[in-house]
Amino acid sequence: MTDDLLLMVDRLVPNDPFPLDWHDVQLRSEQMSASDAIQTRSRSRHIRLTRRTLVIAGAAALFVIAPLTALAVRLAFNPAPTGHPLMLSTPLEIRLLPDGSAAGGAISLAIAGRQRTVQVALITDFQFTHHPPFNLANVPTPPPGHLAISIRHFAATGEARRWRRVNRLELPADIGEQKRLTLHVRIVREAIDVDVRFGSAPTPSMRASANAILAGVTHG
Amino acid sequence: MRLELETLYRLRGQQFARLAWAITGDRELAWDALQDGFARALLRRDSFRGEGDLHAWVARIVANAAQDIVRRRSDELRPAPTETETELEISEGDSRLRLAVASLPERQRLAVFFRYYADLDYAQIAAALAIERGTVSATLNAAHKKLAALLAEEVPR
Repeated sequence: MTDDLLLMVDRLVPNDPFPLDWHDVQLRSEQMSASDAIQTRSRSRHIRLTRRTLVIAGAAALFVIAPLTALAVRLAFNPAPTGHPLMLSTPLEIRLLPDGSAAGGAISLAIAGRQRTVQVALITDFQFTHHPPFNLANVPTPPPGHLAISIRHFAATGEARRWRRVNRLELPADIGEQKRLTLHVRIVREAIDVDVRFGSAPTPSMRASANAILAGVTHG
Repeated sequence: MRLELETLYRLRGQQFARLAWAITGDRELAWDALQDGFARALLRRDSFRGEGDLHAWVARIVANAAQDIVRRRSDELRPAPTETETELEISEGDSRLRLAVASLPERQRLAVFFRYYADLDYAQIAAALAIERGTVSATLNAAHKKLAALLAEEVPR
């Protein structure tokens, strides 16, 4: 730096002596140490809280979000989740067969002289498609070796109050080679009208499938 | 180490105070920065590596303390100061010379302050700025040229 410039830079800060005080430096250092200790404790507490939050969030992700996401994906690709309950917004819960499908809806019927809402459902051991709203109007004919079970149920009233009370649905012991049969029973307060259709003469395996479907119909 | 720091404070305190004054642009703030800087050095003395230069290490700490004070002061005065505004804050009310120095890039400015106020040699400036010794020379040269150009009208000929 040239002398002129050096002089100017030197002029920038006056050479005016400062009152030096080492005791003040020591006091400040002690205050900083105490302040640092408080900050360290606060930081440690923050880290502990953050870790705990992360653990809780991880657990939530593992046990709640992941299963829900898996369910959402499965529903997106398979609207009728096989092997899982089909909720029909009714007192009944219907569990599907692994390869089956189902549809549900509601219709209005005159029962005991009054219009009532009747919940309907169709459960099959094969895949079928339908167009909402589902109302049992176009029940598919089951292919040979398969079956379709339609169910109508409503709060028991009138004649239905006298239907046989059962705890679970099942086929009669001996149905022979009947390809279609109906059941009228009550589970709790629900009157249930069941229509079972076989695509061919029922074999033991088809009867077992029908009973498996019926066993999956429970009162929620 | 405590004794060495106290000795440094008593022997070179005035130089460090001028360094802080150059950075803060205010005598009272400079004294605060000097005291804070040495207090921090005292607190962190265990982190000082024995093979390093104590003078350079403390100079850097005092400079940081001064810069912190400038930042805090700037925050108090303005809600969201930019770097330029902070520099102008330092130079407020001062001569064109102060503006010229304030307009230097931070590394050049600090190199000038370390050299001419804290009386650090090139090796010590390199340690304080964590740069190579050769870079110090280039940095100071660049600072001199820039200051000379900026002050061309003011430098007595």
